[in-house]
Amino acid sequence: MLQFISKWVQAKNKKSGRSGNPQSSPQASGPVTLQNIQDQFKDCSDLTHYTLPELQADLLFFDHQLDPHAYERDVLRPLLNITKDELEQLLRRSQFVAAKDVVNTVHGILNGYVALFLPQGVYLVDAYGPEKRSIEQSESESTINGPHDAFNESLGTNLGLIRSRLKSNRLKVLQYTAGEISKTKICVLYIDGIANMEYVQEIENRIKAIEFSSLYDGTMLTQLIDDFPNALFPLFQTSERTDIAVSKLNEGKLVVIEEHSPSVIIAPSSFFEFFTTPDDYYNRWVVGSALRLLRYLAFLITICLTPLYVGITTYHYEMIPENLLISLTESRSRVPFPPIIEALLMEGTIEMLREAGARLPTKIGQTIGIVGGIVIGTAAVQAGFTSNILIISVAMSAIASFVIPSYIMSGSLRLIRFGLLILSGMLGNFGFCAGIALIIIHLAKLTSLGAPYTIPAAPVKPRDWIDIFIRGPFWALNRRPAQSRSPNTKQNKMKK
Amino acid sequence: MAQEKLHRFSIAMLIFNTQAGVVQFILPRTIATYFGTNGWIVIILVYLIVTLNIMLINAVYRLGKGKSLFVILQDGLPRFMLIPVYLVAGSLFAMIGCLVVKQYVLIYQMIVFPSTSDLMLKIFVDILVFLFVTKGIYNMSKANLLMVFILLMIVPSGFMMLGDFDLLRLTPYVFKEGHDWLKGFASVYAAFMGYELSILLFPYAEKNNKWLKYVHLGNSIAMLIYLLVALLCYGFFNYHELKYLSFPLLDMFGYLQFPFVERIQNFIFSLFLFSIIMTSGMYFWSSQQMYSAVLPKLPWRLLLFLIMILAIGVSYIPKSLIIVEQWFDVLSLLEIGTAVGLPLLALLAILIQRGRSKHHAS
Repeated sequence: MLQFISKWVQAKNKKSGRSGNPQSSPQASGPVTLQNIQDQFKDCSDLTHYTLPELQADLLFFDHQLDPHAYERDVLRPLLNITKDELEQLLRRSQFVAAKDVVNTVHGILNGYVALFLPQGVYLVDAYGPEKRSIEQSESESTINGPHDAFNESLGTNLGLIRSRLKSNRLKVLQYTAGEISKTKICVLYIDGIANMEYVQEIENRIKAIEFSSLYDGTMLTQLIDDFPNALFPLFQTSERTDIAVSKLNEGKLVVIEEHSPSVIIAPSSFFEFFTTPDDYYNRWVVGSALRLLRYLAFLITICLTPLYVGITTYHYEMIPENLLISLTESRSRVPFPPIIEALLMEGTIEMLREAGARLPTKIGQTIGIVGGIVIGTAAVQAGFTSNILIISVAMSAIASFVIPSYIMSGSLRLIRFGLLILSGMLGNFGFCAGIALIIIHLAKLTSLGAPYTIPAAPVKPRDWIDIFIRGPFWALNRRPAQSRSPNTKQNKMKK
Repeated sequence: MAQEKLHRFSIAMLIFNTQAGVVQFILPRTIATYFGTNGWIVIILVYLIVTLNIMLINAVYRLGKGKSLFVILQDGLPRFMLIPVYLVAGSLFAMIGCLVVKQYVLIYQMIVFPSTSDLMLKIFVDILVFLFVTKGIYNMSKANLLMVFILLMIVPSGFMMLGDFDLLRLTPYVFKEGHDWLKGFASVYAAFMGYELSILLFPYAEKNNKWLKYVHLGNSIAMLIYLLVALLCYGFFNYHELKYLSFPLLDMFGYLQFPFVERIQNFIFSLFLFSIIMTSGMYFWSSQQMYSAVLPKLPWRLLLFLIMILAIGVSYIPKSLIIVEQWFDVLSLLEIGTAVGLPLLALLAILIQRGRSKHHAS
């Protein structure tokens, strides 16, 4: 599988020409001299060159990559307060690391190190600390109860948020780099003794196999390491919420954090996990369970309601009760299109409105909502463009799609709905059921990091149902999910 | 990561859903025609005989120490003898897999799409079956579980008929006004067919004997569903009426009413597409397994494709539902023979192998 993914990524890179440009990498040959390093950064006007003639020292660094306090404390102040004779002693301090070669020096400067050029040699001092966003609430995963702090784009901050919640030396962090040009840092987090080491090995192999020029976000990383690049559904859950990441680590899963991304990846993930939210655990279990069931109902409404409407109004009028049939016929009497065209028009309009609302600033977004509401709600019916009942169906489907907590999953389900709509329009109930069968066949083959995606429904793991289909009381949630394949299945009692 | 074995419960559902299918819609009529009053009792009798047949298959697994059927046969019998067996069994499985779809499609055409070509509908379902089988038996079992969960949701709607159920319609007589019991017995036995494919699951199941009980569980669920359907139909209609209804279960669902929807029979029948995909898929998978034993070097997906193309070609011959049912009568008898014959052949191979081992040891 890994070989296949690797080959696929390589082939894609070759096709798109997006593989890393070898010329962008520094040349390893030549001595580590100031001139040589400056040549490597030719035309990089943001590179700062600072000289200290009294020490015959030169400093090279990117000031926007540095933490000013660290720079002053670890580099500038020590150098300014000593004489040339005291330099040898200063360089024995642990923060001064001798540069190995040109590549090492160039990468150091790019990663927020200060390169110190002295007659004795070249040293690198870590002063990394670029500007970062403060810890804020997540906009895409808002919550009413529970913690409100969310991950941001800083790897250090994100690691700190998790470490502050899991004060255990069993929390391990493995670091890798991916991206030919971006050299993006990726951290894999797991709890030793709880996580299955086969998963750790597998994800390490996949990250190392990435051959892509630049990585921009965790959601992009998921597509580069997932099992089925052509899958319709997201195979890894992503989240900006710290409590989700910590709870998943506790369940024996891995959390992958990508530098510059507020979305962390949870691996492996199950299809049903996309319908759970931390809010379920902050409510009383009965309320949490009811909300979870409501989300599954919303899932069914999202994919089924409009296709069933189209199938029934096109081929199976006999299924509609008499009283409803009269109002439906009245409503449809002025519409000149068949139900499938009518539904595709309305669903298409709703999708355009949603996309416009998501891209526009909030104030204009509201206007779009009002205009869309009038156009869809009133004018389209009055103009005989569509029927009232279809508007109810489309609106309900749209609302239901927003109930699903994962935006990426919600997008996949909306796309599936269009497929089901077309099949229902072609073959009625038969087409609808064939579409559902296709989805099931597709779902059944999917895996997340090699683990079944449809677990705990298929393969059946009834013990996990209490924390997937409902939110059971805490005393009942004493086992880690089967998908984690944890060596320590008891959740409330760790082995020593 | 290592491929997981088939879970015990998955095997139970695999067997159940392979057995169940369109036959549920016809079974009450068949029973009423051949066994008359309270014909539903025959389901229990046939179930017991099927259980014996499953025990025979279990014996092959135990005596063969979990080895694949093909390994057992090849260890005991010469290959030239086995090739015709594989070819006949493979062709039989393929024809059943294909005709299951054909029968479903013809019924669908009759009740919903009279002007649509049955070939078009059939090719549509065959593509689904092909996609299903190419995922491999492990993923088939997973998909089947999801499908079964949806299908089992129909069961509670059966209890909504209890309001119109009348014990008087069952009458106190047993098997009155029946005829051709032997033919009827074969038809009811054919409704249970599908369990015999468990003989091909040996290498994919867990390496212990526990899963064998789950084959019985699957068979028992099928029996309970058949019993429920037959009893409901006997109490909802009466056996006289049942004899003249083509699809009594569909007619019964026609009476169901919900606030937003009624006459859901064709939706229910559409949902049975899941069962058809499973039944047909399992038979095609079994056929491919048989042919792969003859042509081991041919890629299995290509082989499956060729088998399906050939089977579709042959299935084009019967044009009407009655002819399909006549074909099924013949194929069912052959399948019953295979269900008993294959395990017996395997037991013979085990005995020969053991005899040889003893001879070498002495």
